[in-house]
Amino acid sequence: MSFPDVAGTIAGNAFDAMTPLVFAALGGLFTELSGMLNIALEGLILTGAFFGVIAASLTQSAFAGFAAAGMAAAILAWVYGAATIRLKANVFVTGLAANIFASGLTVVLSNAWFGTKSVIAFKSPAPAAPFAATLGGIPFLGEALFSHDLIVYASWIAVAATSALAFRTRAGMRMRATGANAEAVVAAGFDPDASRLLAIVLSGLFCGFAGASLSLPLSAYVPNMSAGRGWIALVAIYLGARRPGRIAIACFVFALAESYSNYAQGTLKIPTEFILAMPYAATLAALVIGSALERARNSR
Amino acid sequence: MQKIALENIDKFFPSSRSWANRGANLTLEAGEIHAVVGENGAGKTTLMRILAGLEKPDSGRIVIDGEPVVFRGPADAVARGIGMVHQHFLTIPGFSAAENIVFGEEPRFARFFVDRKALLANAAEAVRRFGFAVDPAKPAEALTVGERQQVEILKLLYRDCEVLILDEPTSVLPEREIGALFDTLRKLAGEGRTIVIITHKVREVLRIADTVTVMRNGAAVGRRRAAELSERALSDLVMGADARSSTAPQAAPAPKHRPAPALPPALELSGVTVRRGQHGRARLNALSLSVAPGEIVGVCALSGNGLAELEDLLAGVLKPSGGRVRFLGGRYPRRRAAPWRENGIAYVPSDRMRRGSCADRSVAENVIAPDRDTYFPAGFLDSGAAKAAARAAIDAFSVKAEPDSLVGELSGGNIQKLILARELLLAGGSGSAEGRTPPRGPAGKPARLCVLCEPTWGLDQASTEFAYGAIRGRRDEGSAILVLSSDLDEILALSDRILALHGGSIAGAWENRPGLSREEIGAAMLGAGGPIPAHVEGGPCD
Amino acid sequence: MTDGNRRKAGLLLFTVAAAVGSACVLLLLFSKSFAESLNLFFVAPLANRYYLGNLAASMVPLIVAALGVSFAFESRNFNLGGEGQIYSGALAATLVALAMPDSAPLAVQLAACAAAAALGGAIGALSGTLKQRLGVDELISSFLLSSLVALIVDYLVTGPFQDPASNFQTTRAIAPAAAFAKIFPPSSLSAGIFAALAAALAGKAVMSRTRFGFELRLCGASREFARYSGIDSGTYTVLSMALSGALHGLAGALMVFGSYGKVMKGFSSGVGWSAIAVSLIARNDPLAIVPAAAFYAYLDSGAKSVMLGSDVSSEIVAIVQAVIFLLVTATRLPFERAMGPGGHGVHRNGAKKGGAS
Repeated sequence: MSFPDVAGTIAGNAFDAMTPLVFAALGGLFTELSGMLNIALEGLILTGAFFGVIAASLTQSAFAGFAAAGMAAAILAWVYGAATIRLKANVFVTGLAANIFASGLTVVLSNAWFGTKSVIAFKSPAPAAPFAATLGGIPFLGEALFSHDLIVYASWIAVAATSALAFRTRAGMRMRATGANAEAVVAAGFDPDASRLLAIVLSGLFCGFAGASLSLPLSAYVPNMSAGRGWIALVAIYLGARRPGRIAIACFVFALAESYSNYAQGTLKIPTEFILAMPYAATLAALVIGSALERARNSR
Repeated sequence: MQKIALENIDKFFPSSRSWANRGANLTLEAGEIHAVVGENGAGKTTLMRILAGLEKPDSGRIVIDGEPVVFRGPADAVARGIGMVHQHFLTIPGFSAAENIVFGEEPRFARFFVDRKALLANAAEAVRRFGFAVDPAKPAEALTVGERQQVEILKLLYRDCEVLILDEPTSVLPEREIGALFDTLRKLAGEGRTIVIITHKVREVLRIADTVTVMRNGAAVGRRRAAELSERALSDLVMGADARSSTAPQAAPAPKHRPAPALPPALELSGVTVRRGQHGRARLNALSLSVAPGEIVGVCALSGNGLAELEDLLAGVLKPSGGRVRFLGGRYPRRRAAPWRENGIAYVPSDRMRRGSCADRSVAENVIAPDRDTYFPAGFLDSGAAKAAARAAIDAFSVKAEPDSLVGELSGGNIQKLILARELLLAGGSGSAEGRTPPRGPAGKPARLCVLCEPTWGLDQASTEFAYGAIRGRRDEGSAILVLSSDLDEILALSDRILALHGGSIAGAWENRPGLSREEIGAAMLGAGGPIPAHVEGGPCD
Repeated sequence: MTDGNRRKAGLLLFTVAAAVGSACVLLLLFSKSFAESLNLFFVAPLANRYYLGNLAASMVPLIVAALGVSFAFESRNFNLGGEGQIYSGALAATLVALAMPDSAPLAVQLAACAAAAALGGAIGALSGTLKQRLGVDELISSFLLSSLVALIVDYLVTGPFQDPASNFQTTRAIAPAAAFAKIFPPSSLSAGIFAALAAALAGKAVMSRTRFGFELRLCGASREFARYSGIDSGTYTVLSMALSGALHGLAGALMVFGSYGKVMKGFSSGVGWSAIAVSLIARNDPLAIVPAAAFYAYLDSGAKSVMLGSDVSSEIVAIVQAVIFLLVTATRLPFERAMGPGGHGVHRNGAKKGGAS
C-alpha cells in the first residue's frame, strides 16, 4: 500500500472511531454544563449498542435501530437521573450503578434471549451514505471523508446542534446557569433539578447514539464493546474546554490514536492486551499533559 | 395606602429546633423605603424570605392590595411584583451582565433560539432607564461587588417588580458606593416602588428609611416613622431596654489612647508586592507595615484595594512576588500554628462559612481543629478535653449550641461567635470579659499575633461590644493585633493605630487620638487624600 | 435515636429490601423454576458448612478493600482503581511467594503482603499525586490507571508468568504450606478472616480516635477549613489514596493466601466494585463494613449458587449491585415529597456551588 492509501485508511478509520466518542462527549457535555460529572456514559453507550443493533435487526431499519438505541439509553439515564436528583443521591455512586446495571443487564439478556454471553451477530442494514459510492473514489479524501456510514455525518451535525441547544436556547441557558449557580436559577423561578434531569436524559440519548454507532456498522453486539469510551469522552470534554467544536477535535485526536493502534495490530506483533490498553494509556497521558499545561498557564 | 400586609406569620425550623418567626406582623406602603431592623436571629431575613416566596410560613397570611395570596415559590412572588436581592449575590458566572439581567426572560427568534442582539439591547435599555452604570456586555466574573448588586436589582426591575427587598445591601459596599445605592433607592421609591431594607445598622436606617419595623425574637415590635426616632431610641428598641442589663454580655469600656509600645514588631511586612491574575496588576504594591506586641493596628480599605489580598497573604494562601513578611523576627510560618499556643497566630477570617468553620462537623471538632497538638496527645484524641474546650467556647460567647451540634445548624452570627471564642478566648487567659468566669482552655499562652478580618461581621451590638472587649484583653496581655476591616466605625472603635490602603499601598497612617477626622481617613481610602508624604509607612508613629 | 439516625436507618433498610426484592424479580423473570431458584439464591448459601465457609471466605477481601474505599471516601477522594489494585496486589503477592519457596510461611506471608500493599499503594499514590500536583481528577485517573494495570496483569499472567504445566490462564501455585491455615474445612475459609476483622477494628480506631484520622476526615469535610487549621490537604490526598491502594493490594494478597493460592486471569474481577458497595452500605464506618460485607457476600454466593443450579447467569448479581448503588446514597425516600428547592447532594463538590457570589 502506498503512503496516501495508508494515511487515507488511518484517517478514514479515525473518523469512524471518532463518531461514538463525539456522541458520548456531547452527551457528557450536557451534564458537565449542568454541574455534574457523569461517569455513567460508559454504561449508557453499552445499553445503546445492545438495544440499537437488536432493534435494527428486528425492524431491518438502521434508522429504527439508531432511534431505539437513543431511547433505551435515555430511559436508563432517566432512572439514574431520577435516583440522583429526586432521591438526592451521590451522582458518582448512581453513575456506577448505571454502569454496572448496563453491563449486568446486557449479559443477562443476551444469555436469556440468545443463549450466549459472547459476540452476537445480526443481519441488519448498514447505515450507508448515498454519496459513498461516487465520492468515495477520490484518492485520500474519498476514503478519509466520503466513505462513511451516515452515522458519522450525523455526529458532525450533532456537534452543531449541541452548540445551538446549549448556548442559544432558554433550556440551554437554564442548564448552564444550573451548573454555574443553581441558587440563581431557583431565585429566577426555575427548578434546577428539572435542568439537571433534562441534561442527564440528553446525555443518555446521545450516548445511546454513540452505542448505535458502535454496533450498527458491525451488525453485531460484542460484550463490553464500549471499551472505556465513556471515560475517554469525559477526558475529551475536559480537553475541549466544554466547547462542542473543540471537544470534537479532542475526540478526533483520540480516534487517530485508536485507528493507528488498530493498524499497528495488523502489521506489528504486539500482544492484544497492549493494543487494548492503548486507548487508556493515551487518554491518561492526554489528561496528565493537559492538566500540566493548564497548571503551567495558570501559574504564569 | 397599604400595599402589603404580613399577618401573624409563624415559621419553625426543625433543623435548628427554633422559631424564626412567631406571630410576626408587617405592613408596607407603596412608594416608601422601609427598614426592617433587629439583632442577629431576630427573624428579619426569614420574614422577608417568606414575603419573597423563598420560605413557606407555617401559619399566618400574606395580603397584597387587600387580597390574600399563597406563594409556592419565588416565581409566584415575582409574578406579584415582589423580588429580593440576597445578601450573597446570585450572579451567574459565565454569563454576561446582560444575560444575568434577563435570565429566564430571554427574547427569542424562530420560537426556540435566544436572540442575543435583542437580549443585549433590552438589558442596555433597562440599565439606562433606571439610571444604573454597568456595562451589560461585561462578563459576570469581571463585575465589581457594586456592579453585581446593580445587576441583582436590575434583574428584579426587568421583571417589573414593584417591591424590592434588599438583605443587608450595604454590608458589602464601600462607603462611596453606599451613597450611590441610596440615591438609586430613593429614585425608585419616588417612582412609586416599595423598597425594603433588612439591616442591623441603626445609623443606616435613619439615613435612608421612611419607616421602620423593629423585630425581636421572631416578632415585630412595631412600625415607626424613621423621622420620629433618634439613634439612641432606635437602639433601645432593637436591643430591648430590659435585655441590655440581664442577658447581653457586658460591654467593655471604650479604648483609651495608648502610647505605642517600644517592643520589636511581631509582624513586619517590608516592601511586599502581590500580583494576581495573568497580567499581574499588583494588588499589594510595595506594602510595608508592622504590628508590635500590645497594640491594635487597624487597616481599612475600600473593596478591591488590597484588603482581601493582605488577608490571603497572612493566611498563607497567596505568596508575595516581592518583599518580605517576618514574624517575631523570623520567617512567616507557611502553615498556621495553633492560635493559643506559643508562637501561635490567631486568625479570624472574613469568610467564616468556608474558611473559618466546617459545617459538617460538630462544634467540638471545629473548636479543636486548629490545635491538634493539644487535643491529640501522642496522636490519640483526648475527648474529655475536646468537650471541655467546646463548652468553654460556647459559654464564653453565649453561643447558642451544644458541643455536639453540627456547625451547619448554627446561625451565621453564632458561627462567628464560635470562631471568635476559639481564636481569642480559648487560651489560659480570660480576655477581658468582666463579670464572667474565665473559660478554662488548654494550658497555653495567648497568640503572639492575631489577624482579625471583619471580626464582628454579622454580630449584634451586644456581641460586638463583647468581642471588642476580648480583643482589647488580648492586646493588654501582649498580643500583636492586626484588624482588617472595611467598616471604618469598627476600625475607629478598636485601633491604636490606623492605616488606610488605597490601590494596594498605604495611603495614610494615623494614631487613633480623640478628634481624629473620619473624613481624612475616608479621603485617604478614596485616594483623594492629597499628596501622601513619601515617608509615610506603616511603622509605629513616634 | 435521633430523627436523622432513624431516617438513615430507614433509607438503609429500604436499600437492602430493594436489593433483595430486585433479586426476586430477576429470578422470577429469568429462571424456569422460580421456587427452586429462590431456594438456590437465598437458602443454599447458608445450607451447609461448605457454602457457609466460602461465604465467610469471600468476606475477607471485601472487608479489607472496603476499608480502603472508605479511607479514600472519608478524605473526599474517589478511588475507582480498586479492581486493578487488587489484581496487581495479588500478582505481586504470588510472585513474592513463588520467589521464596523455602522460607518460613510467616515470613513469606509478611513479605508477600508487604509487596502487595506497596504495589497497590504506589498505584493509588500515583493518582493522588497527579491530583495534588496537577489537579487531575482522581476519579478518572484511578479508573484509567486501573484499566491499564489490569490489562498489563492479564498479559503477565497469561504470558511471562503463565504456569507452563496448566491448560488454564494462571500463574504457578504458591507452596501449600505458605497459604493461611484453613479453619473451616471443607470450605476455603482461612485464618485470613481474623486479619480482616482486626483490620476493621484498627480502621475504626484510626478513623475516630487518632490525629491522622481526624486530619484525614477534616480534609474530606472541608479543604479550606483544613488548610486554615494548618493541615496540608494535598498531603492527605496522596496519603489517603496511597492507603486506599495499599489496602486494596492487601485484599488481593489475602485472596491468594486465603483461597486461591495463585492468580488466574481476571480472578478478582468485580471485588473492587463490590468493595465500593460495601463501604457505601456501611457509610464508610469501618465497623459497619463487617456486616455490610456479610450481606454482600451472601448475595454474591446466592447468585453463584443460582448459576450452578439453574439456567440463570450469575450476572443478575450485578443488577442487584446496581440497585444497591442506585439507592444507597439516597438522602430521601422515593415518593417522599420534595422539600423545597435544592439538590445539594448532586453537585460534584462544593467548589461548583455558589458561583460568582
